[in-house]
Amino acid sequence: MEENRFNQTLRDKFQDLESPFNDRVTFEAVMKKREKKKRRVIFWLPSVAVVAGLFLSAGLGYMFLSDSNSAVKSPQVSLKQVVVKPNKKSFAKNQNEKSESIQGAGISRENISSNNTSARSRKASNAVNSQILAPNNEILTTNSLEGNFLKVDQSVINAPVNVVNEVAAARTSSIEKSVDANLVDMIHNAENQLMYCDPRGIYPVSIGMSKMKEEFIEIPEGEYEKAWDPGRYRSKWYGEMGASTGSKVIVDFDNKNELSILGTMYHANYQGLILRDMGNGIMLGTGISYGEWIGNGEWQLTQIEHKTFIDSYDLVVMIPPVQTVRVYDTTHVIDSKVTTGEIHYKIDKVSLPLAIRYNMMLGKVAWRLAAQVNPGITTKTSGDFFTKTEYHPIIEQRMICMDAKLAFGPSFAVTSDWTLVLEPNAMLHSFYDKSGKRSYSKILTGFGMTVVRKF
Amino acid sequence: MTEKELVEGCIREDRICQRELWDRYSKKLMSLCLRYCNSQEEAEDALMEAYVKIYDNLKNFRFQSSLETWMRRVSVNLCINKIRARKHIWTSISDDEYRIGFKDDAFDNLQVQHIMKMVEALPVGYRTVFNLYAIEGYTHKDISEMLGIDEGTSRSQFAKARKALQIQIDKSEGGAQA
Repeated sequence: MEENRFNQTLRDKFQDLESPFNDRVTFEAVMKKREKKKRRVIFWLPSVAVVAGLFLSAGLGYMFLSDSNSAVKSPQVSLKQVVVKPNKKSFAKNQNEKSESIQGAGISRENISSNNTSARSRKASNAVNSQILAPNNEILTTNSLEGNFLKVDQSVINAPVNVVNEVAAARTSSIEKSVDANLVDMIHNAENQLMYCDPRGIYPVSIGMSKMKEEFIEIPEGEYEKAWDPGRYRSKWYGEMGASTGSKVIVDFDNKNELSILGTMYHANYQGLILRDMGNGIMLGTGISYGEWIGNGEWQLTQIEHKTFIDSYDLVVMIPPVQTVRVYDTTHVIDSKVTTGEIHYKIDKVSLPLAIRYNMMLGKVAWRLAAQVNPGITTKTSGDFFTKTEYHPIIEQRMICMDAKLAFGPSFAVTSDWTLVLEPNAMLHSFYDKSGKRSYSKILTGFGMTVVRKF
Repeated sequence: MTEKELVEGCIREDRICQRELWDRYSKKLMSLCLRYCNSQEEAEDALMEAYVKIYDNLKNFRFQSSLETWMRRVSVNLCINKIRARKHIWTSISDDEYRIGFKDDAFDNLQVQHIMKMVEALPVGYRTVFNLYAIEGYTHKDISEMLGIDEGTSRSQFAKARKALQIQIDKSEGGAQA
């Protein structure tokens, strides 16, 4: 299909062809566009880095927690499945076989018992039935239980709470006479684990069987009778880290005002808070916040000048008697002169937020309403602050500022300890200019992400 | 100023070199953008964006081709991206239709500006493929990859473009004879 192309001469002519463009397309305009692009990158880079950091920390936290404290569905095993009374024939047969092998090998009963226990532990974790030889020569068949609680030291097993023992003792009175006391304790503890697991299997609450050093909870006397409420054992303190950005466009190029501004304001806000759960879904907290408030735009000054021109000329009237008449011609001219220029400002500030959070469920989604005020101080200022119709140079570096934020968005439980909140928000930025003796404020809308960690 | 000095100056952010680069090639690239874009304004925007890209990426220029060729490629890619973003729907035609085309000497008697006007008047799909194939010298395989279309679609778009151009040439010649 090469023949269908233009010949080289024509192609060269095409490539050498030059076309003019409008006055708005200039080298300066290109460089300005490039500068704007660079500024945008500089502004968004920290925001993106913070959000990525939040995601990374949430992800790592999830991975870490899923290894060490993941929510595991509780074993739905009843006591009837755990202990089965052996029938007499198989019991006698097994007893004889065991006795013979013990005598043949010359091994003491205690050793065999402990060996069998360790073997049983391994097998139990593989979820197969195993036979247990108790010290008093009883053989019990156990179904698979959580391997963890079977692996624990016998001294630990003897520790459980007396009240539960009594209840469990009554339930197992029919087999207790023929079963080793340690084994009964193990069964009681299995029952305890089941009792103190959320029946829906959402929260694993160990009372010290499998990971005693880490998770043992001393439950006061009388607590057993109370209704299941995991919140009783939970911390009321939370940590929060969040980042939010937003913008506002100011357009007022309608020439109604002498000075008009076309501009965009951006803000980025990063904060860390400590929150206290006050109950009923309400949290109160404080912390530290760093914010940037930037504006880029251009101003247009329209100067209207009213000019009156009076021309006069003499008109000779030829009708006798000949006379000269002076005629005055008045012209009114409205002269409009438009001047434009660029405008920028940047305000960095540090503040101490006072925050209130309200958590609620709407349908199947958890939502959070967040409100806060951030009294603080500006750390660095530059440029000219602008509103729709005016701009002023920011002279002071240290000014009192007061920001406020209102946000509402869904929250997602990443793990039982970490929560991610997406927050569309509106943020008020304001500062008091000492030299100008007046305050300036603007409300910017935007989006934020927050990670909440339960201590 | 040689090409190398110009490039090195631009990398150093030397305003004089950057301006020289603008003065030297901007009108040629404007002509290129006009062939791909729908309007003068769109072409002007594309030109400015192309120059921003060129200034930003000059450090990646390896002198394996001429600077102008490299700048043309950057500009073409930018225009193609704009066209792809508009999600233009490309249509295919039969092989018989594909064989219909302009005569080899069809453009001999026409001024380049006149041809350019005709090309600009083509629909977006025809125009893009025609520019890439007939003027820039890309193959249909390259074009299919650039535009994310089948090779056959590229061929058919080119065939339609030729057919449309031939009609315009015939009209133009008819008008001139009359």
